[in-house]
Order: sequence, then C-alpha cells, then structure tokens
Amino acid sequence: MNTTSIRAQFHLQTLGFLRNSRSVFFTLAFPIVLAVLFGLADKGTDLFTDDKGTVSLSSWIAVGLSSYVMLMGGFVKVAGDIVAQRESGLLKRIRLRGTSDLSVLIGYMLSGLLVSIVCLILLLVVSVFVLHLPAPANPLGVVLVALGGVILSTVIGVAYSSFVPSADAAQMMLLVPTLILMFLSGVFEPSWVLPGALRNIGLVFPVQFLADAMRSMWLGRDFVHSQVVDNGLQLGDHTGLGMLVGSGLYICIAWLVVAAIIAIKAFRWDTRTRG
Amino acid sequence: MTEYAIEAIGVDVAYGDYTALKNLNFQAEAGKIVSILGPNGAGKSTFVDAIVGAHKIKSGTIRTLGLDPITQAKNLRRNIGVVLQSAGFPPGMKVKDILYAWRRYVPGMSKAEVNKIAEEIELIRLMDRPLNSLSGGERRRVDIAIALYGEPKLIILDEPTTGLDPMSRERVWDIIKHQRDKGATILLTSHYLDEVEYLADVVSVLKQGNISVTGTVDELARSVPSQRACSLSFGPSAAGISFGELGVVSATGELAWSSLNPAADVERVLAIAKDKGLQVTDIAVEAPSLGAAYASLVAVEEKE
Repeated sequence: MNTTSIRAQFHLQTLGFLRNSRSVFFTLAFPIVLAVLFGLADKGTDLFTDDKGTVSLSSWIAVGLSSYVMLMGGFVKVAGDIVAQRESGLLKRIRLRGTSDLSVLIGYMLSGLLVSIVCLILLLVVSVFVLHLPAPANPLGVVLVALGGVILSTVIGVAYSSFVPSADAAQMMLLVPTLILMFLSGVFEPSWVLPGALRNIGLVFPVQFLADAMRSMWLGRDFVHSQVVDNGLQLGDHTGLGMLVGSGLYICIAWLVVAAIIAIKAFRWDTRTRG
Repeated sequence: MTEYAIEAIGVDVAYGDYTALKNLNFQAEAGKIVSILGPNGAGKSTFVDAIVGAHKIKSGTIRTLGLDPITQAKNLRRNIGVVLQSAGFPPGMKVKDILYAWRRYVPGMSKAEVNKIAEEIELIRLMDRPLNSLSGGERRRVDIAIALYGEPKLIILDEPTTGLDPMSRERVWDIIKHQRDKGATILLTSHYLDEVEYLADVVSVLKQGNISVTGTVDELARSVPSQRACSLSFGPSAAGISFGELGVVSATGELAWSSLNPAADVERVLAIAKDKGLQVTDIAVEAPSLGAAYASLVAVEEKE
C-alpha cells in the first residue's frame, strides 16, 4: 500500500469538499442548524428524571443527530464523491495516477472520516454551549462510537456507490434513504412514538444502534438495550462500555463485513461494465 | 532493434458477451506520435483502457513500456500520463487547486515544477480562475498539464481535442508535438483526420475491434486510389483548346480535371501540349488525402 497515493487522494477529496459550498452546508452546518432548532423548540421538555438527573428532549435529539453526521460525512459524502467522479472520468484518472486501487479508496474514506469527525465535534460543542448539553459521561465510549460509526458508514458508502448509476440519481438514492432512516431510527423524534412495525424496520439498519450508542455513552444511560413500553421507554441495565455490546453491535459488524465484500466485488472505476 | 513503447499481440477484450477487441495486434514505436484512427464505437477507448490496465483483457498479451498493465500496474502508472475524453474536477476548485493537489501523487514534485509546467502550457495567468469559468480549450490544457507530471515516458491522449474550437485545437497540437520532441512516446486516439494528418508519425486504423492497416499518413493516403484534383496552366492564349476526355482549357488558360491516376494523366497532357506547341506555366496535383483513403476503408467495412 502506498502512502503517497493515500495522502494525495485524501488531500484532493478534502480540498474538493471544502471548495463545494453546498456539500459544506449539508454536511457541516445543516446538522448544527437542526440541533439548535430542535433544541430550542423542545427547550424545557424533559424526557425523564432518574437518580442520575434529568434528560431533556433537546439533549437526547442533539446527541442522536451525531448519527446523521456520521451518515452525511461517511456514507453520503463518500458515495456521492465516487459516483460524481466516476461519471466525470476523474475517478478513472485518479486510479491511473495512484499506485494501487486500495490506496485510492482509503484516501476517499479518510477524507470522509475527517469531515465526519470535524462535524461531530462541532455539533457536540455547539450543543454543549447552546443547548446546555452536559459533559459526556463516557468520553472514551463517545470516541469509540464516533470512530466506529464513521468507518462503518464510509465502507457502506464505497459499496453503495457501485449501485448508483449517475450523479443525478445520487441525490435521490443517497439523501432520501438517509432521511428516511433518520425517522425510522428515532433520530429526529423518540422511537417510541413510531408504530411497532416501523420501529422493527429501523432495527435492521445500523443507524438506530449508532444513535442509541452515542446517547448511552454521552448521557450515561443504557439506551441501547432500552424497550418501548406503554408509549414510554424502559432503559436497559448495562453500564459503561458494556452498554454497547448486544444485537445492535452485531448488526453493525454484519453490515461492515457485507459492505466490505460488496465494495471489493462490485466496485466500478468507470461507467462501463466492470471487467 | 526497434524499441516499442506498446506491444499488443492477439488481444481480445470483452464487456460481458460483447467482444470489443478481437485478436488485435499493435505496436507503438518509442519516441513517436502514434495515432489510432477509427470511427465512434470502433474500440479506441477500450484499447486505451487495456494498455493502461484499466480493463482486463480476455486473451493475448499487452506490454506497455515493457510492463504488464495489470500485474505491474504500480510501476507502470509512475511512467505514464493519461488524458481521457473527459475528466471533470470537483466543483468549486480553482486551477491552482488542481495543479498543486495533483503534484502530491508524484513523490518529490515541487510547486516550482508545477509552475514550470503551467508556464509551458500557458496556464500561469489562469491559476486563480475557477475551473468552471474556463473555456473548453483551457480546461483541456489543465488536463494535459497534470498528465505531464513526473515526465512520463508514455503519454496517452484519448480524443484530446473533441469539442474544442480551431485555435484551441492548434494549441493542443503544438503541446503534443513539443512533448514528442522532448522524447516522450505519444499514443493519440482520434476520429479527426486533420488532427492525425498534422500530428501522427504512424497511423493505425481500428475498425470493428481490430487494426486493419498501419503506416505513415502518406502511405495510408496512397494505399487506396482516390480522385485527386489536377490542373495545368497554359496562359489565356490556350483558351478553348480541348484535351479530350480530360476537358477544355478555360478562358483563364487553365485545364482542371479529377483523376485516379494523376501521373499518367499529366504525362499525357504534357505530351499533347508539346504537340500543340503550348507552354505550360504551372502544374498542380492535389496530395493524396487521408480522408479519401479513410472513407474508402470505412466504405469497405460497411460492405463487409
């Protein structure tokens, strides 16, 4: 593996992102705007109070929006970049300039990783100061979930890009599923307000686990193993990093493995049939 | 012994059930501009993909700069520069963004070297311009500039002047010739005959996935008999004199006709003129045309 190619690709993709004001807005500013709007609208609304204190709805939503950031910076950005550059011919050109295919792909993923991590930090810092989000209960856990979530979404982005036929189609095929998943996974609103069937659909995807895992690590309650009861939520009883272990984590690992296999087998460097 | 920058022997390339290249044999001599001429869909871009390792071949062998494009891709890519038909850059970027970012793919390349290439390709005054504000010719020059990074031994240009205005095309041609003069091998695919006539040292015609003929521009032009314009001038005193089936001298003293065998016709006219005591003031015979030869080759393809 050639680090020159990786660094060059990382630099080109990151610079391309920073020069694209639309991408910067939707990936960087939009989640912060959403967090502030949701937070201000729900200010004063408490979700529940327990022996550790009160969890406000605005805190719950702001931390959950971190999964949106992971998807936008990883999945949407990486897949969108690959599709647009494949269609324009730039992807093939980059491949012929780089010294290995894997180096080129890692460069894309690292750029997605950086953008996501920066966005996450900004989102959470703004939430702390504007929405009075408390300090994280488990900072190490927050970092682990953030890194794991971004890596997962970038790998899925690389795999998914193989099936997006054009840059025009990318807008619809990337943003629409992302927004739908946000609703199905209880990111924009508490999951217990959704009908059971829709909640179950959301459980198949990694987004709900990522949102609940981040909430668990930040707010110090076991949202990962929580159950919906009588239009409310019964928290799980795991503690520390143990809150992360369970069916949600295994679903994420399965998604990672399948996405990696698809990325290797189905990835296309140009718009013609893979050969 | 001739050194070849590209050698392809018995190459088949397929996309699923469709065979794009069939038993193709090709050689590109080092240090020359070698052009592959063919109509749309003949397989030119497919062949370029095969020789740079962007597409696997079904059978046969290809050696590009002596290397296998698939198994030795890492070494090969360091020594080739490729300009594809289109290579849109990320929106919002400026010329200098691309030029300086691209140098990072070449270990040790400095900004000073980038600036030198930018001067050579006349991009220095455009450095702060957004890419999407450039004309087609200016964007093409950016494409070519980054293909020259690392002083590649082989430069591949896939239809480099498609869509450009005449002045931009000539500028690009001059850049290509200059690179050849510096020692690079140039592989140029094109369906523009004037471009091939101006640039190519050697031409190969690709039709239906196979190389049908190879030669210099002149050899190809002469390979197929074609009608050529001929004229002899005698002066106004010869007006009205008949030369049989070749025609009659005009009021301005010119005899003009079209011929498949100009040499024989001119010899006959000169003999008749001598008999009639006419003085020849000028002779003009149109050079063999690559266009006419190429049209004949295409016509043969359609008949087949």
